[in-house]
Amino acid sequence: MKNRIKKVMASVFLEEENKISDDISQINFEKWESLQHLMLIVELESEFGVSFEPEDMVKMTSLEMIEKQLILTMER
Amino acid sequence: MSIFVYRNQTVEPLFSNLKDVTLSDYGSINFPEGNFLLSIWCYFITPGFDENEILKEIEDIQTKLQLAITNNEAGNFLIFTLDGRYLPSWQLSSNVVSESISEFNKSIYDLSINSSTIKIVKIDELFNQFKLIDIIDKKYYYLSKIIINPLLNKFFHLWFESVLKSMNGVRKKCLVLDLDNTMWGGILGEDGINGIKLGNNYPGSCFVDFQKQLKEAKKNGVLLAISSKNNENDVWEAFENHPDMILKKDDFVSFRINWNNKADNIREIAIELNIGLDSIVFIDDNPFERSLVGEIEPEVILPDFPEKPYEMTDFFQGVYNKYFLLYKLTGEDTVKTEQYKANSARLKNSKEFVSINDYLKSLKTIIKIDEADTFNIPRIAQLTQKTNQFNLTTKRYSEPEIIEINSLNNLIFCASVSDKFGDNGITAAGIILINDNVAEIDSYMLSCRILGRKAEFAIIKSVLNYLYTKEITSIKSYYIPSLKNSQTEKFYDLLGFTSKILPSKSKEYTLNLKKLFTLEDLFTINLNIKK
Repeated sequence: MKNRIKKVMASVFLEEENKISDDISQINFEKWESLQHLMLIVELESEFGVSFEPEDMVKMTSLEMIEKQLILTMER
Repeated sequence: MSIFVYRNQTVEPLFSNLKDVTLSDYGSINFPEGNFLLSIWCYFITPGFDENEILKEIEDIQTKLQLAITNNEAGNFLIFTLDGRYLPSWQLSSNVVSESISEFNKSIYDLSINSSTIKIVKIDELFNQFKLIDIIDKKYYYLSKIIINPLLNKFFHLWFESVLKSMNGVRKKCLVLDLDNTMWGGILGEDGINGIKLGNNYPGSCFVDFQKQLKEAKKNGVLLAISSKNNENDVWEAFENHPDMILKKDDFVSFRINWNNKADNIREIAIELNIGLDSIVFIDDNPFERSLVGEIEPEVILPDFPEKPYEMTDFFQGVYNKYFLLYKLTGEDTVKTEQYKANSARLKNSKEFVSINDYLKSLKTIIKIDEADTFNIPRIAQLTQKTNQFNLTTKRYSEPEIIEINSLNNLIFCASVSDKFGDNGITAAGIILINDNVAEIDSYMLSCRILGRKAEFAIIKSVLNYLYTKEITSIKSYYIPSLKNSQTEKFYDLLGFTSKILPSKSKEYTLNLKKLFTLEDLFTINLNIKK
């Protein structure tokens, strides 16, 4: 799942996949600003066939958090 | 090309596929420093509930737009229409908001009619393809205040690219059509005229409408041709005698009704019409025929034909929007079928004359050469975009670029050619960059419709003679090879230029004018250049 998320991130941020590190977060990655965050959410929703609640979206600020949230949402 | 977008909402994602885009500050009409070829006015009414506030916003948008147009420095100005389908209506009887939006849209429509640089983009054409709940997704909207659902972005990108293309006059030229199970249901050779499905009842009704669409496409400048495995006599009998046939033999500029393979047929049609294979869209219900053509001639566009007759009209509208959409018909587009047919008549006629010069004289051709002005610049830009075969440098220019080059001390000209068969309209153009007494022929092109009668020499000679009278005698020019323009490889050599081959395989030419060129007595030439 981590690699699938990275793939989505790479396409949204227009970056090479190897530039997306495991510890990527909104703090250490400049391109990840609020507009891009929304695009990322939209793309993650369609990639994994899920729908996030706004309350969850604001928490998804790093690769780790995204992965956790995805697992939670998919279990729901 | 650099683009400036005036906006009042977050629209970044809508234009993220385009290069070199600068956005205004929210609701600001300051025009930035820098060179922009295109300005886009993309405003959306803020979703709200108070009708008076909405009316005020529309009024404000109108005022700002007027100021923006006055201060705009880019060549072209595209204005998005306003769309209020997401705004509330509290009483069924009152529709002040939608009336005000209609007025706004009417006013920009009027602006676009009276200007060659202002064009409108109808956002409803995109929105109409979706349900309202898909256009604005309230979850994303409340989270980000982005009005257009981000899921629509990729549709917007595709749609807007085709809008931009159509504005630049880039479109395919010819639609080659199969007949059986494409233009009517069933197989003519087996079912007979009375057995094919074409008429009021399903599925014949679908084929009637399909033919009506083809007729409209033809009116909008698309050339129709036939490639069908059939007996030619049966086909023309069906076109003539079937009571529900919308199209007639006259509607087609070329046809190959035989048992040969369709790739050969299509290639022959391209040669006959003097167009490239990449200007052709081939519609055939049979996947085998399509893939055969695709194997041999990969440049031909081969849309997947729908399974069900009732899907045909939507299918065709899609094909038209993707490959043939145009912003505005020029006079040349409308009479195209007539011109191509007149050219066929010319071809047939030419066989009766012994000397080609005698034949050319008998055409009583009149060539009118004009300098660029607001009326012909759109057509000149279109020629630079579309001309492939007789084009010395194949440089593509947009209207604003032409206007810019023309504003300097350069000479841009175009030529219209008419003869006893008809008026071909503006079919040649050239751009000459002038520096002191050195002239550089940056571009020179002729539409394939008027090739084969030596007009290409007469036009450039007349223009060079004009330069000579202005004491501009040192002429430079270029031949840049492309996939299609090999026929022009020796053009400047034939005019007496001296060539030098550049490392890029292009050729650079020079010529010192010492006297006027002699013009062959084949045409009447009217030169209207005063610059």
